[in-house]
Amino acid sequence: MTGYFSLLLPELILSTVACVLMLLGCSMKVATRKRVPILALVAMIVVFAIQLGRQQGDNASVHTLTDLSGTLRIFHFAQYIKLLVAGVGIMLLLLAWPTNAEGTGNSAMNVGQETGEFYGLMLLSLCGIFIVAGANDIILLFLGIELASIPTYIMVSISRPNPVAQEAGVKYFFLGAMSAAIMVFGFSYLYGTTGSIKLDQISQLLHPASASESDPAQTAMQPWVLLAVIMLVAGFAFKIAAVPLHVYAGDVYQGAATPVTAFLSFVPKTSGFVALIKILYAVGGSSWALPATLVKLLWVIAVLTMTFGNVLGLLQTNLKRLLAYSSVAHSGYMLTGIATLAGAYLSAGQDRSTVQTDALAGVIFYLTAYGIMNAAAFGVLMLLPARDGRAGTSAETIEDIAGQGRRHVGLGLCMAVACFSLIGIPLTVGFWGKVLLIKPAFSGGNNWLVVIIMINAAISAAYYLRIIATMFLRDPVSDAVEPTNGSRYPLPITAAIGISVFGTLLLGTVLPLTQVFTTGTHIAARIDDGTPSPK
Amino acid sequence: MRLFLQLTTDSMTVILAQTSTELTTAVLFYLFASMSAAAAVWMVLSRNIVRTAVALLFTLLGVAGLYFLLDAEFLAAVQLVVYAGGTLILIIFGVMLTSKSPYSKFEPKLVEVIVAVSVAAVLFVALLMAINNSMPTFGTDAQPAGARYPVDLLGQALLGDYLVPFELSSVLLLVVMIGAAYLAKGRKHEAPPALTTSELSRQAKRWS
Amino acid sequence: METLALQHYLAVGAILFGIGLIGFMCRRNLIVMFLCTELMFQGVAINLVAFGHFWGNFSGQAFTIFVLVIAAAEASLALGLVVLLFRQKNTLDADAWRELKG
Repeated sequence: MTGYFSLLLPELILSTVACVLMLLGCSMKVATRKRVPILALVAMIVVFAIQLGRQQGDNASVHTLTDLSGTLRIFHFAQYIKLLVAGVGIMLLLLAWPTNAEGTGNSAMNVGQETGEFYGLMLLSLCGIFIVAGANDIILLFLGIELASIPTYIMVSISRPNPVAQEAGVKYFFLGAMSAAIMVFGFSYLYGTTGSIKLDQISQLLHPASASESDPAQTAMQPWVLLAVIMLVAGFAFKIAAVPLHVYAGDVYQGAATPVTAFLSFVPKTSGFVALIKILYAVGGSSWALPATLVKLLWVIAVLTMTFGNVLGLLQTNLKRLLAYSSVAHSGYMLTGIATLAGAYLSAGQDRSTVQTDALAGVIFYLTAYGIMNAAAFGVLMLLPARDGRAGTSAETIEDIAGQGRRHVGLGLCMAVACFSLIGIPLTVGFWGKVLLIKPAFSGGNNWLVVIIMINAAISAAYYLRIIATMFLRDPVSDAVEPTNGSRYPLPITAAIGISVFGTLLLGTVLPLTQVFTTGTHIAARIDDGTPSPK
Repeated sequence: MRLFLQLTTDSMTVILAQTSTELTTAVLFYLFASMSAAAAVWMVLSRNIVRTAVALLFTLLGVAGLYFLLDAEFLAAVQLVVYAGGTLILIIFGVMLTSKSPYSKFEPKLVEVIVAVSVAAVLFVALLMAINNSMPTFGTDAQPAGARYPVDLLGQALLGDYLVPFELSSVLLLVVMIGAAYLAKGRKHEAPPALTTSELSRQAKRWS
Repeated sequence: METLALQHYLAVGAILFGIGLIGFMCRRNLIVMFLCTELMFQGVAINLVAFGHFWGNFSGQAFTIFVLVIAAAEASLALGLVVLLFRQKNTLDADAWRELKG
């Protein structure tokens, strides 16, 4: 049993600093408002350091941390997710740095009135994922997911003065409200079947210790639980932009300012995946005994999400839309890991638990890899100018970047690295991400899934290579307008791109480092050690 | 003999009282349930946006009645005060601020209606099947159904077991408060050009 | 055995949820769409209170209170967005928002 203060220290830091930032944002002096992003960055780095100190490695004496009423349960999984979110959060904060308002197309960028609120909302949204990671209570889980999403609705709407941003915000908000209702419906049935709102108690009630381990009846769920889980999956599908609730992705990603788009492609997705994993763990128990219906459902969603994302990505001419559908496709890849994890109980033989651990570690590794490599792509888009000198936006369409790789060689190379990694070409982190997803799928007997992942990677190569080809092979368009105010390569954004590109390459080439991360994700695949809750 | 009579009447009274309570509950349940469902249908079908809001009010009242039947008096009161009295008024403000004419019509397309009705029908059949097919075996540790929920215990639970969610909800409300203020405030460059004095007076003349 | 089983309440919850879902997908007025999500939340709240009643613990009611908090929070945000939109387009028809296209 641990006190609330030490359990919630990162969350407390983030929410307190967020309140301070909102107060600073009220200041009339630009100089005060300029401190807002610095303070936000410092808070994020402090949280990152705290979380780095809390990674305990493969230590048997570490047990689940829990509080007096069992609202929170924090084990390796939660600690790793918090570290990951803090690390990617640093990059996202750097990307949103108020440097060139015109170039980034973000109106919070000229240190205007809304800077304080913008950064406060960002920190609170990241705080929401921290809560989701640590929650053991479905109420807290629900509130955490909402805390991660509600600030993003506002951020999209206020991100730039363009009416399209508000259109995007409205679409996002209304679908989000509906998906929250669907999700909470699932939560209500989960509570109704077991009479408990604590995830660990739900797990114990659904899988009493007396039942034998390999009992097939274990997976025959009551219809109510199945209904609850299906509704929850539908609700989370919105957060992770999975088919059929992916429809908003293109519009919202295109409408929001580019740094906010980068934020959207990571934060709601992570909260959705973490919540999905926690719910599947609660319902399936520590042996992940999930029924065949659910496994089939997850399989179909994964395949459809990958394929829709990649095929729609092929058709796009707007780069932000393209990256939106690429993000949908990457959700699909991660969902294949979830499908493998869920199916292992029924299909895999003796090495079931190995397959499950590998699959979950694969999902977590892919989430890490996606967080690292995606930031570079958005960062480069932010620094390239729009072709016809449209105000309040950076490069958006494929025409905008024609030949820009020759003009800005560094940025072009960074984009190339990001795209290669997103395809999954060797020597990048994206390659290891795909390998670690494919391996358990193979050993779990999901050969078709492996084939479909391969086909999808090939389809995705077409549009990522098109970006690189347009940047380097086409002639620079003469009427491209260079940003006039501010430096051309503002330090914070280049720093974010640099971290992203170096991370992508280092994790892809330096095998010992990759090894550290794979071990880390395997440790992180332990969600709970089953320490009994108080009471 | 007298004792026997006494006993019979006593038990009869008890049985009668019980049946009448049950009967009352059942009647009230069907009353509230049909009221909220009918109002919900009205809400979806109504073309007038103010009537839609009024229909939601009736749904909320019916749901509050159901809370009473479920012994959740506090929640029923919260529902009436916060929801019907607060949220709904907020929405009616929204209606008044935005609609030029309350009779503005937006006809849904037939395809959308078909898709929506079929999705909801599938969902609904699944729900009914699930509801009918299984019933959780209420554990032995559960209190007997019909236990009362005093407000003070609920309050203690909110600040005890649910302390973290409680505090988190305050953070959420802060986010929403600031966000809503920022959204509704609008920005300077988006504000419509202020009317000049001459225009204002011209409008005033037109209205008078 | 009570005359009113849990199922009766759950059926009402499911009906309200379903009607709300139909309304959300059919109606094109943003305010009506939002009211429909409120209807869905009401259906869920009935479920929660009924479950709480039949299990005899406070969790259902506590959850309902938090669901009401979220619903109220979304209502205020919806109002902010609706006002913002109306200022720009002078209509609340969801189909008037077609600038973003693939």
